[in-house]
Amino acid sequence: MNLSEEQIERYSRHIILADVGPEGQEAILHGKVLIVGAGGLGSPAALYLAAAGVGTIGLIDNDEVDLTNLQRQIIHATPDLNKPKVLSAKEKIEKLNPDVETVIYRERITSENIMGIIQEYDFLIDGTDNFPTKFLINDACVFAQKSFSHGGVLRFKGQTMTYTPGNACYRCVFRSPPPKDAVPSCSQAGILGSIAGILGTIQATEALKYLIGKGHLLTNRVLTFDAMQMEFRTVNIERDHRCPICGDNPTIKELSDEEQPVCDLKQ
Amino acid sequence: MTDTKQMYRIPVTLNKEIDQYGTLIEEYLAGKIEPVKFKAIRVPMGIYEQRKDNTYMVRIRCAAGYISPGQLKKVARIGMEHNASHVHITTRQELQIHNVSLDKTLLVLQDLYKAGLASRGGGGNTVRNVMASVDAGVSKDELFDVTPYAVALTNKLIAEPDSWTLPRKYKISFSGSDQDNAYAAFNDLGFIARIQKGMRGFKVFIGGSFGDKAMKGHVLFDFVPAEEIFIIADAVKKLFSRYGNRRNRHKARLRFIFYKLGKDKVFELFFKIYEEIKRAQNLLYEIENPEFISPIYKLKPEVIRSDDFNAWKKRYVEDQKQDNLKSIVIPFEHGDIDCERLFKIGDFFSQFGDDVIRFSMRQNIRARNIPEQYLGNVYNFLNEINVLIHDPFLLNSLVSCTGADTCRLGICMSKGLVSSIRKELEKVHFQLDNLNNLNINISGCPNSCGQHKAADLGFYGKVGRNSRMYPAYKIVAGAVTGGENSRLAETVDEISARDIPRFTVELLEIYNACKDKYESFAEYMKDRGKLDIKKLCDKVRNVPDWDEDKNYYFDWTSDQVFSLVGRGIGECSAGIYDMIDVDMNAIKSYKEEIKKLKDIPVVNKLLYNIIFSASRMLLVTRGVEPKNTYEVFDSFIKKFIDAKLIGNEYRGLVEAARNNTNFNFLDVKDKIFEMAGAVIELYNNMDDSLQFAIPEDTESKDVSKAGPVYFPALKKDYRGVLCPMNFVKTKMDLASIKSGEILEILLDDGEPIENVPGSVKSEGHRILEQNKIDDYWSVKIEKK
Amino acid sequence: MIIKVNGKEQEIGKNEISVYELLMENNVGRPDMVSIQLNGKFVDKDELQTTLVKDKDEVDYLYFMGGG
Repeated sequence: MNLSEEQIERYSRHIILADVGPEGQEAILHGKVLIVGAGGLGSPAALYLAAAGVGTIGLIDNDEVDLTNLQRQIIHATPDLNKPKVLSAKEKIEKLNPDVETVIYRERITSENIMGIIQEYDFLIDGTDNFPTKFLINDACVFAQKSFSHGGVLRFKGQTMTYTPGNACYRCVFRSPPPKDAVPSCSQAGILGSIAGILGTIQATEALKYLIGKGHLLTNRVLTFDAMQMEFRTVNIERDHRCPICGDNPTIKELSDEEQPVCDLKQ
Repeated sequence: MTDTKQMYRIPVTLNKEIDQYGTLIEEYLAGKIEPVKFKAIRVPMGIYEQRKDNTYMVRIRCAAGYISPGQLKKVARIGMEHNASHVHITTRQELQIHNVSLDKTLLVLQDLYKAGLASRGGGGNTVRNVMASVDAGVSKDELFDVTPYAVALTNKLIAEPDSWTLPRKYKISFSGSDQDNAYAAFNDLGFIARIQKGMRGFKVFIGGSFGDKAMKGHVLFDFVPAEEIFIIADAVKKLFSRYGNRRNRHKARLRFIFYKLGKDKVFELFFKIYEEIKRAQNLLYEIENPEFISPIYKLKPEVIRSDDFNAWKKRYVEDQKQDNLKSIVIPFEHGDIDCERLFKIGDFFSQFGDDVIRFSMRQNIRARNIPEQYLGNVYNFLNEINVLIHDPFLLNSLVSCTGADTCRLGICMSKGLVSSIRKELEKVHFQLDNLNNLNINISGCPNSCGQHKAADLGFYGKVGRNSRMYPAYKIVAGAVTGGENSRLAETVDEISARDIPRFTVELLEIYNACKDKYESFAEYMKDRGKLDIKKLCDKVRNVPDWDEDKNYYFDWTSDQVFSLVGRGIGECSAGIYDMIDVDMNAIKSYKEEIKKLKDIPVVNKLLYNIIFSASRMLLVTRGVEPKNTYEVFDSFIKKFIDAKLIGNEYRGLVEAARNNTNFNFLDVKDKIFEMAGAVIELYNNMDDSLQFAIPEDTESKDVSKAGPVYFPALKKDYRGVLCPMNFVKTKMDLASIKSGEILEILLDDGEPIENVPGSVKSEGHRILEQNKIDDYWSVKIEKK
Repeated sequence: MIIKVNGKEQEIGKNEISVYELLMENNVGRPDMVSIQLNGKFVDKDELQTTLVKDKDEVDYLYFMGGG
């Protein structure tokens, strides 16, 4: 156990937990988590993971901080307007916890670069705002046998599930991205800011559980919630043998980028 | 994380005992202590000498047959580091590391200790490994998981010093249902799960054994609540200790008390002790449920579509009560595995969590809690490391003891016979898969280490004779296991070892052809089976003469003509009688020599030796282990002369020997012989339990007064540290020490002492003591 | 008959009904916006009209959510 006195104090509330303890905290400090998208979901996830002491946090995002973001993307602040999101986020993380190494990628994630980036990490958090990227992350993780947490929000609702190799993937639930106009975009539909907070922190919790290796992940289950009713529900799902990527006879054999960002909040 | 969950709790005293053992090895190798004394310490440590000179075997306690994959890897690594030949799975669900040199055994013990494993009680007259149904916790038939009970009882018993000084071994087993697949009815103490009015409990058997003069246990209780197992195990231990025969090790096991006194009397004695314990102490032991966190599977399922894979699933994969999880039998010939493969097995199965490996009574590994989608991975892995998974189950489930290869009691080469039966069975034309459930067990001698008495078809080795000796086997058949309905296999006939494989195949052919008519092999035996066996035996009744066919006079896999040379006293016998015999034989031989000798100084020396041996001979019965000659004489005076067991007229003689080795003993030669005679007579008149005049009550009082002394591995002062940081720091300290080691912390009065020990305890560590010193507290914690 | 939709009981005036009809009944205007499980198994989009929901069946709707 190589924790410094300061670390013991900083992480004392983790160490007290029977299922974390010194060993679990060590695992967190050695953990590497990639957060795709430094937006509504990525913000709270990044902050909690940083606070928890995750050894390496990767952030990938190509956007700059926009005034419409600040209603929910809490890692950014008013002075950060027009700053690249990854830079703004890195500054906050470093202030919060110097134990964390932040690796930033100021680019879009694509079929070209994704495999190279994710291989460095233990776990991914999907905090993206569009379906093509959500499917791309799923497909890349199935190919690379990486575990990740899917998350999506809309209006007052959210959904999340965790994929680990061998269990149901996002495509087992949703075969392919919806038609362009089928799902209302967030800019038209809107979102209550705190909803992103609820979901992002659930995703961060899954990442931490994965790192310490304890508890039941949201595998083979989809958690949905409706804040208007304030109801949470998990729906059991199974790996689908007909799934085009992880099924018995997969039809998707390589990664591709599909266009159509459905939820461009800047417009 | 390298979390290797351990199942039972290693007693705090073990570390010191291992150190002592190390010192003894040195003394033994330097010739300072006699082999017999060394053996008396070594065997109860679970270390047995093997037939080959200077090679030893270390037997590791695996309560309920459990080991974590991490521990398994460590055992494999220990084996590799200390040049062990292989590892062996026993019929008592333990693991043995084989062919280690004596100097390495100490390192092995130390390394095992670090891995949370102990060999103490692996042999000798001790509480042996506590068994449990191999499918406990996953069986569809069980009433509840008996694992926590087997573990809790282990924890209690191995922490008690009197568990190591019994008249003979003490075997305990737990079965989850009336099928009694852990042979509760054939252990000294057996428990079968029961639920009454919603309460968990057990049906209890006492005195059972498969060994010589085998006996099915008597039903001691039809039902007792689960917490009572501790009181019952304690009462049986005391009963055994008080009334067991310490004189003759062949009549020492618990069942012989029943043979001697009869069931009613023994029950009366038991219930007296049981009531005493119940009255005296309101013992409440906690049953901790070993909590296994469900693992996160990080491997990708491998999909296989082949007939061989499907056949394997049918033969070796079993359903569990948990949906989607499977148990898998991993067979090894004779239960032997090399350390490299053992390591790979630990490594592979660690991907499925901590509760994944049990050892079975059929000397297999039973992997459990494997999600169905990963069966392909397991199959590919087992294939890769060349486990025999392509054969019908029966071929891989032949059980034998180690036999005359390595056991000094063995008559026949039981392992060789297994290989020969296997080869013969491979040639048969009918589907061996039809006989999946058949148990074939072989012992190399009438002792039941191969558990032939629990077999459908079993054999045990004996000496056959015509004009010369040849290896032969008795044939036993028709055992039924299942608590009260249990029946031991019955001896039917005997033939030469040479003819056993052919006989086995022919009998199975007959049985296979008519098996649909019978519910089980035992039913077949009741009907026409015995007749079939006798008919087959008749065909080979006449063993060819040496000149006609020499093969009959060689045992299977042996290149030497069959003989009993090398048969010795079993290792298990290590005990105080051997030590007493050393002195008694010495006295006899000194007397013989004195008759022949004329040289006065030499005779004088021998006379001194007689006084010395006579003084020392029975000290062991009083628990005295003298460290020098003065102690021998002083203890003899105190324990035997002062206690009026030996006449006061010998006091001067002993004092003379104590003070002056050159005393003129020749003048009192007759007196010396008389004294030696008195000691030997005392020994001859000692009762079966060594209790000849031991005022037991006063002795046990002394022990209870003393109380244990603990040596902390780490001491920390947390006075002035507030809650909860004092607890956080304590956890850090605990993480830095080894399991079983002790941490002492100092805490302030008030909130700290009210909270920290409770929190530490709730995480499974043990608070050994907490004492108030002035205005603060000292707390001693044993790491889980 | 009584079925469960998203964990809640719902009474339907018929003895059986196609998944598609159920979606209409429940005002799920665009079936391509939702992934449907009937008794724990996903229903293919082209089988919505032919797959029947019967008494005591359990139906779950999982909607696309792409915001982040």
